[in-house]
Amino acid sequence: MGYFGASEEPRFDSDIFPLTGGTEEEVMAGLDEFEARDLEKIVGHSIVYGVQLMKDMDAARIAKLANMKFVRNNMLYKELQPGTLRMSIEVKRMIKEMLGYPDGVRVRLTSGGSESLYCAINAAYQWFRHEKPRVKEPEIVVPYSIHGAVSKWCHYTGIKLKRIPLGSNHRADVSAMEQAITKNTFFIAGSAPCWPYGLYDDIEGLAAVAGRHGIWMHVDACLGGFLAPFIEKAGHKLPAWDFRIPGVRSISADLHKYGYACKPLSSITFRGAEWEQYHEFTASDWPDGPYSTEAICGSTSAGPVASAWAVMKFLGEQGYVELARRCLEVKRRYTEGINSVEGLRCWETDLTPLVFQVPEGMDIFAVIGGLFERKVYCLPGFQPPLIKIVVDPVTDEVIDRFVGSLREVVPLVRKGDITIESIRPYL
Amino acid sequence: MVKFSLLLFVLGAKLRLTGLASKEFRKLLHREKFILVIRTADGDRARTFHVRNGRAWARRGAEPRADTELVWCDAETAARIMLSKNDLDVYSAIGSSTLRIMGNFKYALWFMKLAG
Repeated sequence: MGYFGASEEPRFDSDIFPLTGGTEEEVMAGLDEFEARDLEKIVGHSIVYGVQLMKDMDAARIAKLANMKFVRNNMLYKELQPGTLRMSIEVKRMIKEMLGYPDGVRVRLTSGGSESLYCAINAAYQWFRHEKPRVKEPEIVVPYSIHGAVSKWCHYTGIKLKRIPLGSNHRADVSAMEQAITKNTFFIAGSAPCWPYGLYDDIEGLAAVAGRHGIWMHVDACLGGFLAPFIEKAGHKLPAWDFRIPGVRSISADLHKYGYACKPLSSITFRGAEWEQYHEFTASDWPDGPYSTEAICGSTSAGPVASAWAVMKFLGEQGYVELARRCLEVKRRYTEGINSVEGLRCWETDLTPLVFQVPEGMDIFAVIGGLFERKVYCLPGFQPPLIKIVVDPVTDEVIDRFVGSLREVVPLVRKGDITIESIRPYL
Repeated sequence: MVKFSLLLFVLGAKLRLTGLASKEFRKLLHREKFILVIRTADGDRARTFHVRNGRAWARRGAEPRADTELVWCDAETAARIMLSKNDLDVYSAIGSSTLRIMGNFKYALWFMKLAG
């Protein structure tokens, strides 16, 4: 099942697993064929096109080399690999330094933002079970805009989920969320920023609510965690979102987004060992004795961890600040360009992504389909209908191509020459 | 307007009868529990659909505690798109704000399939 919900059911006329192996040339040619069918490179966490993806291609190249160097090292056995162990410890240390976390925080590496969120909810749940073992239907209260991974975890585990409608400013309605809290509630969360709109929730307000009710407060900074500190160093102010706010017990932040590490890699950080202890689990009820892991996954490749270490060391704070500055400039150029197309209007977002509305009555899927036909990619938002671009430190060429395609497509959609049928091949 | 009201009524009946007649559908209903409202933006026409404990039924009006709301710009457009055989028409309606879906999209799309 893909991001857009399409299912893949290819037909095979015969078995494809070979009786005897092929040569290296044959195998690589097969991979080249797959690569050629991927019309455009989708890298990082954003959908961009073309060869000149980012301003700093060296960082991308080094990340890839580092990934390949350590790709077969298994993080599950890092204690047996002193180099890998030291590398992962240094990455965790650098996360604390980069994000300005206070002393005493406990960082864990995960396979992605979803797993980080799962870890946060699970730790909160284990804590709640310890505190209130008699509660039969534990529940969490989150804003409507919190990432869909939260719904996924609640579905897997049977935890009751309350998504609370947002305020008129499209941010968490703190008062409504507080009203939704019951004696069964063990966890609330806010986004920094949210994926649908690029807006920060009132983390201070939510943390205060959590404090009043004695429940777990999590900040989902998967998207903005590794961008925000450097945006602020570049002189751009953002709402408060991290451990500077009392009451925040955990934060998720993705290294494979604005940390520029290879996928998959994220972090879940607990304010201290007192909260991390609820995340820890050791299975011992099997023949092989104690079995414990960093997070939920068992075996994971050290490749992404190596890529994170390499990029952090290669860029340094200066490099990350420069890239953050570039992201601000990219956002400004996109906004200017998009707003210059008749009828389009960008929202004012706190950080990323950038979202914009089309003229009333115009179908965003027709616009998106028209852009896809021109090999220019973006994402839809459903409620309300919006078109979304993640703000990456891309080249001017990428921005100009996007805006130019919009200028071409929008009038054609208005005339009826491009309709939603243009998106059918991608569903 | 009459067509839309009739459509909503028939949808409720279809849901109930399919639940009675089809074992597969009953299994599906058993897995779900939700309240869905389909209405026009002006509130003039509304029907609430309940799915719980393997049963489905409908009531006139809009339940305020709905998990999902399908809000159509007007009754005529709603009837036309809900009866359309083109699976993309619903997405087009969402994309152009002709249809606003509040809450869980999964139930909305499930219902639209049922209507088609």
